[in-house]
Amino acid sequence: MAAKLARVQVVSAYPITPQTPVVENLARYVANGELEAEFVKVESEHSAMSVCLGASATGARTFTATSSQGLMLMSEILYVVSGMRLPVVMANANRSLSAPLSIWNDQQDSLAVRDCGWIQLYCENNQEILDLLLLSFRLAESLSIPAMVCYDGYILSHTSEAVEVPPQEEVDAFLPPYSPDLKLDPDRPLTMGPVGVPEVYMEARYMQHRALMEAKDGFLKVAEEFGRRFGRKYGILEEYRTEGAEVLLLTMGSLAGTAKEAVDICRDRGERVGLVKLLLYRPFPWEELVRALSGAKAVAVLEKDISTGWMGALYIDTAASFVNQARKPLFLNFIVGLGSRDVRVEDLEEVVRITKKVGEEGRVGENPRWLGVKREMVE
Amino acid sequence: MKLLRGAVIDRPGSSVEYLTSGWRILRPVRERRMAPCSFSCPVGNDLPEILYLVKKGRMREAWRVLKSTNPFPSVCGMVCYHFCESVCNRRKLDETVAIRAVERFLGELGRKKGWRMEAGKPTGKRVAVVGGGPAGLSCAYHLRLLGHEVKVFEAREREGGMMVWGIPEEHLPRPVVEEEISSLLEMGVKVERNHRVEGREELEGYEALVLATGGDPLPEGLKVERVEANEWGRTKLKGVFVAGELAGVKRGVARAIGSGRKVALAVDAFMRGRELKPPPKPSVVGPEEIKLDYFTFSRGVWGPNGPESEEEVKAEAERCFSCGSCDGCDNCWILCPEACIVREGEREYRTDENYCKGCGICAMECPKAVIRMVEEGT
Amino acid sequence: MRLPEEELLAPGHRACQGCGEILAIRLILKTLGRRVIVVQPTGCMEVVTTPYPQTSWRVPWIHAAFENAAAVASGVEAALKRLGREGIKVVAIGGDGGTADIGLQALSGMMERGHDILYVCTDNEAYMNCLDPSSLVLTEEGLKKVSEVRVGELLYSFDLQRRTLVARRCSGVFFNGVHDIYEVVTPHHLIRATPNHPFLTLERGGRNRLVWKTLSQLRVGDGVVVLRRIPYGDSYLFGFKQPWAGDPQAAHPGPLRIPERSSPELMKLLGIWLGEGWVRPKKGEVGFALPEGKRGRRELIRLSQKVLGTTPTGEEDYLYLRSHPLARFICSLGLGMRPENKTIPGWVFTLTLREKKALLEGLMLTDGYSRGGSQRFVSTSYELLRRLRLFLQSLGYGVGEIHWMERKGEGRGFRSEGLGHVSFRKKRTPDHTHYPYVNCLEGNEFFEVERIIELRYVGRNQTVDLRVEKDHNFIADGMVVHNTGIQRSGTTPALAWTSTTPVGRIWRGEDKPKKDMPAIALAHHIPYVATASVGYPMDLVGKVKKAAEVKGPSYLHVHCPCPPGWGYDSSLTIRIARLAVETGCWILYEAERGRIRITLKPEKRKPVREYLMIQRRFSHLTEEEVERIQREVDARCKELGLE
Repeated sequence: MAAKLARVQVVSAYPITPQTPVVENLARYVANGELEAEFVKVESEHSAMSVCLGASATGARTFTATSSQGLMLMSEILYVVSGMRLPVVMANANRSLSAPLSIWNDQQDSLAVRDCGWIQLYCENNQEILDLLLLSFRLAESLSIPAMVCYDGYILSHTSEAVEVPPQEEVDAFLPPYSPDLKLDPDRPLTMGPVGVPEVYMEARYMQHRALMEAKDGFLKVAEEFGRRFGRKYGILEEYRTEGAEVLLLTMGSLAGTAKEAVDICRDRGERVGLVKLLLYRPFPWEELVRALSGAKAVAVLEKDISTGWMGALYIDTAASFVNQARKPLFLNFIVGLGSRDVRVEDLEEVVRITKKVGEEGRVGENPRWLGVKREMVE
Repeated sequence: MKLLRGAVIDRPGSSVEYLTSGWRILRPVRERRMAPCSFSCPVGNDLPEILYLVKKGRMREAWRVLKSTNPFPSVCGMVCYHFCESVCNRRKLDETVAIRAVERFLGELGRKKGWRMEAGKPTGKRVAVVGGGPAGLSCAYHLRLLGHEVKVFEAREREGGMMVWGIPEEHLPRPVVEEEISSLLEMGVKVERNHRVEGREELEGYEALVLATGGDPLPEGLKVERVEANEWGRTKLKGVFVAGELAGVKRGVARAIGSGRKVALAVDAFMRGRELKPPPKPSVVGPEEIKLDYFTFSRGVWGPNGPESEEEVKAEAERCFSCGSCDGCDNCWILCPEACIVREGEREYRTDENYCKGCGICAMECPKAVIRMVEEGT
Repeated sequence: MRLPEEELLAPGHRACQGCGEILAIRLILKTLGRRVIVVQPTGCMEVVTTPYPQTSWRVPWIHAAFENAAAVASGVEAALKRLGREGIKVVAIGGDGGTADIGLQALSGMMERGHDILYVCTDNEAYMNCLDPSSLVLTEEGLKKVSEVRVGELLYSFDLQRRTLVARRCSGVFFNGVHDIYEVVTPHHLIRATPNHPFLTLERGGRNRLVWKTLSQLRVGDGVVVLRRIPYGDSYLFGFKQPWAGDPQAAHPGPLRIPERSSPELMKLLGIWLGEGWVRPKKGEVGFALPEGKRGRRELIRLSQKVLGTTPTGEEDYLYLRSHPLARFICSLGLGMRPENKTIPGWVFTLTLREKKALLEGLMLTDGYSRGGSQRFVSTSYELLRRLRLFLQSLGYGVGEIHWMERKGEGRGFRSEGLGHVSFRKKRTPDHTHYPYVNCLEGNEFFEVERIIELRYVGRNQTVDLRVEKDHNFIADGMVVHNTGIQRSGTTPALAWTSTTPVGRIWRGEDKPKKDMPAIALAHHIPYVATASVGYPMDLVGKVKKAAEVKGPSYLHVHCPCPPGWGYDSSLTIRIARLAVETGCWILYEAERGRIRITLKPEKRKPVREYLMIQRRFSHLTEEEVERIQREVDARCKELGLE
């Protein structure tokens, strides 16, 4: 839908559960003439991203969607697209990674490619998906940095929710046509993707990194305009009932919805608990997180991924933000929901309890803690 | 230099900043070499050049090149032994090029159109030529081209020598000879008929004297000693030259004409007070040097008299390999991987020394053997 | 048809001299003009044309990764279509790897979807290694420069199984163009070769395995297998035309016999001549600088009487033999003419032991002397010292390096005027100064191991290599070197290749024919498929034109010879490309809407051997293998209706 509103010109995707509805709908739009775009039915995700690369380099607005294994297959090209500073926008339905094969939800896939130089946004609900995608087109094109919007597969992709669809004219006003200054054109023959000799490679990567770091401010600007036009305000993170909280929960994606419920229940009981929901994951907004989390005694970082052999990605990044800070809470990492392992409100209440205890005792203990693992299967 | 985002290069063709000349240890040299046909032609006709111009349909220019060496193209075109054809490299592929027929065609065309060569800028010098045979007339002709005043003394009632008295009419019709000779006269060559010169004293006032009396015995007063083995016609007497059969040149119209021309050059040099330097030994293109695979097998298709019409002659000229002489085939330019050969003219190419890597492809693939590789620094 | 003047691929790119691929691309761009967008995968061409901040491309160009050129091109084409930018042709130009192997999937998808893209595959391949042309090779006729070895000659070789010296036939001589050259120096040998030339070495750590290592893998201290001595031969039969009675050119005092064969006495005489003699053939004079009292003088007089039947005329400082035939004879022996250019010719190495020793004795009578426990010879000819060194080694002596001093003299145009000497002594066995460890070649009659004492870069020079049957090695400058490189076959019909591994496991690999890419393209039923070759540029141009006009996918497969990969001199690129077509190894055809039509039929198909044998990468093929290839090429040609 967002792609249709954004008037993308070239779409190229390869179907993979749970992204398939996206591809099917887009195909339908194009077939009906609702969307005037080239729909390139590629033979693999690697080619899908390659087609987007070529199209974007030629000056077309491009879009694709994928998930899990597909994201892994195209990962080589993700780096090339960001290195070439092409504003491709992609929707990624977060899905678990093989092996063992799993079509169910967790965030391992997008977090596995967190280094690829793309802007990463995480959505809590379907409205956010629509909005953040529209926002991404504008952001990506203004900064020449590709962006991926991640949403939990099945949980968000296969459920229905009423969303407010902004009118086409409004979107057109917000998102003018894509017209890059550097593109493939015989009237101005450019060489794109040359050999990055040692004399220049570091500078190229530095420029790219700097641009991505500055994207944080870019995001705020675009989000502000979005808020003015469409009435929905988005920030880098959302602070939910964090005033005076001793225990804070930090998470991304649809889990935030469940977490908000748990926070409500705890607050009703009088506990000083809050939730920080992170929308913008890359570039990593460390300053904002430090500001939001410093006040607590203990923070529980809840995430649906594991950097196997160490901790969860969000935990690692957050910890790095605090490592040189004078005042920092204790951090606990909870690995939850891998492969769609259900995370109930009760589980989160338990998390709060554990975290509170850690905050009081001042001792972290076991870290990370895997929530919901059936011990009897693995001992 | 500022880095564009994505390391995009916005300077198309900027690789020209990198001079790859330092890679080479050999470099190509273009040199006009001698074709075997020209080498064997006693007259010294520049055949590849003539055939090239005929091929291009530039008949008048072709005629001029021919006439610049040969005063009697029609004569030779009819009766020359065509030494050229027997050494033509094309024989190795299919059949020799009918060069003589081309010469004949040009001769005839020239006569028909009334084309004329002009005498050179007057030098004020006068030369006497004794004997109005092919050698003498040729000598006179060339001297006239060089601007000298010439008078030919012919003992008989008409000039022409062997061309008139020696060769049967069915091979060489008299009117043809007369037409060609008359073009000489129109240039200003003076001929005195029925004047048999008996001695040198009769020829005071001439800066040089050429004896070209052919096979007839010389009058006593004109006898001279030849200088040993000298094709330039010098004798022991300063200013006296011998040409043609008298000079020991083998019989044959073309040889006589060629001798006359060489002697004219010697006389000219003598009169300008210059030393005539014999040209260096030319590099003749042998058949093994021609890349036959660039030419298609073809045999001339024409009537019993050989190529006669303009189309036939042109087609025949197309068959010429152009040994040793660039004819603008573009092969080197097409095949250079560095794209560093520049087309400077219809038949002129120049290698850009800044980029040539000395790979040797141009030299190897030149079908005319014009390019060769030499060591860098030589 | 005159091609457009404009060069859309600028010079200054880093392609090798004589590169076929870059020429193909240049011609393709010329034909297509400015209104193109070029997509390239990772490969040779991409690297040599776009070293930041320079680019050779004067048209828009994009490179993404190795396997996705066809996909990126699809994206470009889709965008152009959507943006309504007409009249721009999308061209993807990939090498055979990026097309047939890793790029096959993307190519297949592109063709299946029917994009309006011209896909060009520029096809080329792999390796070689070689020697400096001055390297001296041991042949049955004696020592020869490697560049002078003829096909069919017998060379000495190391039999890897039996570890002994054998004679093997040379089946190919290849001039490989200019390359970087390095020197490998051992106590008694020195050889120049390219970094990938394999040497037979003793495996480090073990003492009993011989392995092949390339020059670049050698380290100082490694042991290489060298020749200790060569077998002794026969006396040499000179082919000299004797003077006849009444020969006006024979002026001599007394009867003079020119020997027909070599003999110890003659060799001793020649040895003296080598040291102190000269010859003036026009004057008919053979002279010796042997003053009264010098050792060699009396000996020379004696030998001259015995061997030649004449007494030299003497002066205080010199001795003369005045005879035109003798002078001509001496000249014919190849010993040189003046002090500065003396040498020991190859035939001397084939003589009997006695004759060789006699030569040495004669030589030492002149400029040799003993010093300490060893002997020393002095000369103004560097070449003589070099050959003497090898000569002494072949006799089983241990010889040190040549000590040479350049001298600034009144130059008479000689390149190196100077003075030098070598020292030598009889070797003790086993001699551990060469290689300190006991090893599997201890006590071997002909071979031993020497350690490397230096490896250094010398410069760039023309290089040569040989192909030798069976054991595939030969002895150059005393060291055992291999004649092979690893090869990969291309997209030509089944070409066997071989690869040689450490001693004892020599195997010949065989490869199935590589993918027939044009056939794969045809199987996708695209409107236009064609093969072409840089050897036939106008045929290529015509096909590019046709392909460009197709509205839909088109596939063009271009044969591009590669000098370093295929192993030939850079000037032969076009010749080899044409030979490939003339022998039927590469067939030029086009298929419009699936109907194949041959575009160039060689009048009389040449035997495949003419194409294979001038390339280093096929130097391994035996007769049987060549015949097998011929049969396969014949079959394929017949299939396509090409007789």
